[in-house]
Amino acid sequence: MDLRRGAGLACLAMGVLLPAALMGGAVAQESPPRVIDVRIENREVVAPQEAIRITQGDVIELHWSSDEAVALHLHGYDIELRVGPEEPAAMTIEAFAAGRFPITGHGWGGSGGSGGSHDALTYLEVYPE
Amino acid sequence: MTSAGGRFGRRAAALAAATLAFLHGAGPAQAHAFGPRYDLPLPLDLYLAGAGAAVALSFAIMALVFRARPAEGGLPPIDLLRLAPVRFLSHPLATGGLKAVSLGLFVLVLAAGLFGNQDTARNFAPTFVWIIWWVGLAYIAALAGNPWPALNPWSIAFAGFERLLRSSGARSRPGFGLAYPSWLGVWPAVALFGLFAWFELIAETGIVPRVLAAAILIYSALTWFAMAAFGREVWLRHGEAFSLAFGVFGRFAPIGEPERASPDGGPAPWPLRPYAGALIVDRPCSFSMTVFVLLMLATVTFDGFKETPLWGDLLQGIALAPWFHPLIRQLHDLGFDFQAALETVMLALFPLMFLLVYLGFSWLTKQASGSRRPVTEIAGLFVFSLVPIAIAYHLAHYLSYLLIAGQFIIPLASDPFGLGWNLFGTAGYGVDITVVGAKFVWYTAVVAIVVGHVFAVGVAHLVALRVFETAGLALRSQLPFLALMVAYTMASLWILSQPIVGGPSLSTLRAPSGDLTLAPFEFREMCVEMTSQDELHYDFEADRPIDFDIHYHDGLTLHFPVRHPGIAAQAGRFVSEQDQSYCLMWLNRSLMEASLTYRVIGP
Repeated sequence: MDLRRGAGLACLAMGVLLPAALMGGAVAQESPPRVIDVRIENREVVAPQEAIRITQGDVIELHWSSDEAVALHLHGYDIELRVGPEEPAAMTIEAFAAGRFPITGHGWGGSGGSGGSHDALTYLEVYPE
Repeated sequence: MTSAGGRFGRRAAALAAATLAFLHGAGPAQAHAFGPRYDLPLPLDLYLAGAGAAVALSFAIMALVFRARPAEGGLPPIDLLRLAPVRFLSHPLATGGLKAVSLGLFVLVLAAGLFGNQDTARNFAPTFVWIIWWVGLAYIAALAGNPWPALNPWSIAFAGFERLLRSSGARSRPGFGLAYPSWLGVWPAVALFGLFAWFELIAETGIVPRVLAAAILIYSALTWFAMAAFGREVWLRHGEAFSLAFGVFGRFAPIGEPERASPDGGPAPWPLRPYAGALIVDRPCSFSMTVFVLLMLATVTFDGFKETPLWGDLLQGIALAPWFHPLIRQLHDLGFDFQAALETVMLALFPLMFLLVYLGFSWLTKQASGSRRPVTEIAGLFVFSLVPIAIAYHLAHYLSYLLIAGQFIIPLASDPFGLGWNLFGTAGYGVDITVVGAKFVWYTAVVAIVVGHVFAVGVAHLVALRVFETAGLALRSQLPFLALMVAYTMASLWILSQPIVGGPSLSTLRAPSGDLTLAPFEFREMCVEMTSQDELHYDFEADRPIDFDIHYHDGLTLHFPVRHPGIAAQAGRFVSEQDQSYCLMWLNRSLMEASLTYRVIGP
């Protein structure tokens, strides 16, 4: 009997707490995403100099600027983005998975070809909460 | 609700995308880890906690184990065949089915490698061989029991051939019936495992399906020839590198290998024993076996070490050192990829270093215990005690790789040849990069490393108690090994705390144009991924004649579509003949400094 009553209470608590938690989550998501500026010069990321470090669950915007046209590719999350000298571009990342994800550049010079190096320009490091 | 739905949608999109990225072959170019690796380095506090726990537990074991001698013989092993489900599993029908599946997979790997799509990510062979078989089977061999004797396709095929000959009334055994020379020990397996490690860790062609299949065919021919020459069992025990390698891992496992059938035809017992039980030996293994185990341990560590930033800095340091430039020039002239050559030398030096250090500590143990046994005998007694540390490191290093990159076998099973089939309806499966949490991987890694260390120290102590005359001598003998094990465990933890970076590029230029100075014998290169018929324009001007070429790397060798020794300026257009990473290279072979202005307009 006691056990059943306990389970009932737990269900009740879940019923109250779960929507609250979900709403809390929804509210948190509406706050403006953190912006990180990333600058490419001479085919290297000059700022930030270290890897981009964020926490799992964060929503961030990477604002890219480059002195040369390039197609960027964030591996793992698999987001692609073209950026050039006259066209800065932004990448929104909702960090649902932790890990260390390389960002590579392809098609330097805007030719749309496959040219590029497999070396990572920088890394996105998503740490667990 | 929308939040949850959105999250699911995003995840599904990311999963599909991760597959695409893999199919495009994107990601840092690495020989072994050709699938994606997104491991986070172990945080400093966990690294320190693990290291501290390893040291503290070492002393706890020293205090505990030497309190009392263990009862002679220890626990008797349990015969697994007393359990009904196991009896069912060991029924000839079940084992026969298992053998048929293994042989079928062997043929499938060869067929897919030879005749399938040559894109690594769309072919069954590379993922199955490198991730499922080599990494996955090592896990099973170490944690459950070594399944290789039951699955070994070379052994199964040869045994089938023998049976066929017998039933057709030929001689009882096929082959030349040569006696295996005892001085050869397991040296053939040492040599073959060394070649395998090179193929796995350095030859980038190891992930090309056709090359992989060809390598398997060559190894098969060699194995069957040797089995015919010396007998199947003899070769499995001395020369078949994977039987020995999985056998070493399997010594840690609780499920032993079924013993040989009794002569009266009754079923052979199949022992269940405590973990690491088979690592506690009372007779030394041969020197060649000692070398084999150390070679295994060294290559496992080398695999992790060559992905750390320190390794990149080390190679870069060597490549930029003035004394190395003439050597690089020579290698380049001979058509050798100097990075692969340098890594080959390092791969050869690494096990030698392990061996020297280990023999040094064995000598210290001999001194500390006052034993009259030769150093090689001491080495042969304690070498297996290092195995748990290697297994723990292997588990920690590959956990997320196996669980994430290993998922690619699901779509590949439906389309093994990369021809667009969908046999089981799983061809569209997207890899879930959230399948294993970063924290789970971290804690598993640290716990595995600490537990592995405890097993290693414990095994070494129990061996010492068996072979040294008095408990006091045994205790003193263990101090050098304890120091060695702590160092080895620290090194493993340190590698896990380092970010995984792709193979470093030596002297790479990234900027599409610029000015540079080249010291005598110095070189710089710019590498560009090109697909067939891509076009590239370049021009440069130097203040003295230099060597210019465009080359690409193929295993240890280089190919030169363009080569101009001793020119001061050139402008040109290059059209690629195949999908390759082409490198433009400027090399100063004069004794004076050269200045250079260059421009490359890529595809």
